[in-house]
Amino acid sequence: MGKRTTGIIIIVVIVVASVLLYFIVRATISSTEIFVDSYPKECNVYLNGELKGDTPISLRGLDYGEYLIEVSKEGFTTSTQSLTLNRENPKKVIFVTLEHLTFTLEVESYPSEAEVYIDGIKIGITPLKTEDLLLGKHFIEVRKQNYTKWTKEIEVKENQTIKFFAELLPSSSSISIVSVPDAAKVFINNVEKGVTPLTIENLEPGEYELLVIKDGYVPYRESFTISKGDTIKRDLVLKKATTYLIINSVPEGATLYLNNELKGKTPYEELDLKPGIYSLRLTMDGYLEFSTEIEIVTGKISKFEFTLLKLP
Amino acid sequence: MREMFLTIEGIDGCGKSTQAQKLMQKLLKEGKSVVLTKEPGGTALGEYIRNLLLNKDMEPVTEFLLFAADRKEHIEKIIKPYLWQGIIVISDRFLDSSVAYQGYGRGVKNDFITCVHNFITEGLKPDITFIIDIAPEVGLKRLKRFDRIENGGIALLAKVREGYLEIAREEKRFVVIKGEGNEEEIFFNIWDEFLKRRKLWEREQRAL
Repeated sequence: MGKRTTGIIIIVVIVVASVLLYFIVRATISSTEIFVDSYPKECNVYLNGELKGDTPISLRGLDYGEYLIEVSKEGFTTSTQSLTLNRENPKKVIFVTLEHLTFTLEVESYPSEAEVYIDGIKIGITPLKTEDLLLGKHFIEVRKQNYTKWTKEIEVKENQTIKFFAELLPSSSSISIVSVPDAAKVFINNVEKGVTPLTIENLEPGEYELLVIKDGYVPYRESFTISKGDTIKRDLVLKKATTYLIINSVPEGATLYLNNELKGKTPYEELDLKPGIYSLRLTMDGYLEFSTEIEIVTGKISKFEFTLLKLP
Repeated sequence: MREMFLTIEGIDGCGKSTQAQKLMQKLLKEGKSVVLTKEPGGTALGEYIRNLLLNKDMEPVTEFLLFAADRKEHIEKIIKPYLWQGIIVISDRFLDSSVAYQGYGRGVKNDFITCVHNFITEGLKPDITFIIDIAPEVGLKRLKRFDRIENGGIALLAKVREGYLEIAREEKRFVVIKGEGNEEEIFFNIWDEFLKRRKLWEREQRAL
């Protein structure tokens, strides 16, 4: 073998070795990977200052070396990490948790001690200062009983202090009546307003007579005073009555006898009289005496109204 | 194979978050893959819970149960999946925060907390828990912002600190680090302790 052959062999070996080395290096580099994930998801990922995409993201085919990884998202802090890829550590996984950027909210109200809700969650009572709210859109509500709600929608884009003063207006006066059983008639100052459950709004401040009646039940009576902005609630359980007699006359104020027993003046009511036939007599100065028979029936309102004849 | 699970604890203002960041950076430089996460609010559902925790008028037990709910999500959605992929997980606060804050700080019974934790962790415990210990006065001074829990003031933080130091005596996983020096010094102590324990941990893993 001559020198030439040896030379050729050496060249071939060198070429083959270089090609092999090239592929080996390519293979190792293509097996490099940096996998970046975060909370929250969809954060921008920058590799050495160049935007690569959103988390979760897998960056492959990187050369060995040092890398600077920045993870950022609007409304959150930015995380910067440096790392090295080398033969021993060709793959890396990073998961970062970004902190929320926050702002400060101060709420005062008149009157004070109103409840403050943010996005439906009660945060506290005015005057209030809270310093851990997240940037973005929020819905603020200030509530106090007997006052109308104060609401505000805000969008906060930077760390700042936001102050609100909520002037609360008295809500209109109202009464809500619920009864068991329901569908009982409700009278306010002897005017029928409807059946339970019932809310009567916009009552003028003042004194009222409430009457709730239902066939077969003891009527509920109450005088109440309502002031501006008050909401009165009554949750009534009506008692069963065997009988319920109501006698009225025109004009009112006639003397009433039942089975010759003096009962009182009209309008007159009595509960739980024995069911049956009664003789009724109404007398009044200047009017013709009136007599009749009435029947009181179990489980019913026995309601009678008689018009007296005026004497000449 | 599962990787190491590290937690960092301490009263507010002790510098936990800074040290957690440093630990992540150092581990990345050492060629490890790392997950840095925190409580409360490291998951989407956790965010809702975090907002509920802003309520200033809450029973201590309610508060604990909300933290526990957040923790369960955190364990299942982040901690366990990454640990079993062989990635180191660092959590800024975990179980021990509840023991210290709601337990020692606000009087929720320890037995109850332990019972709930056993149920939600299903045996998962940190391999190392660094407690960064500082005096409450120092912590409050360092805080730029006061949040809900911090509103309890020095008296609460003092109780919480006592709690941390007491539980640190009960289990080997705890390392109490003095937190009043400069950041680099504190981190040096954390890293030194980490390396020692890492060796033992690797030996244990091989034995398993």
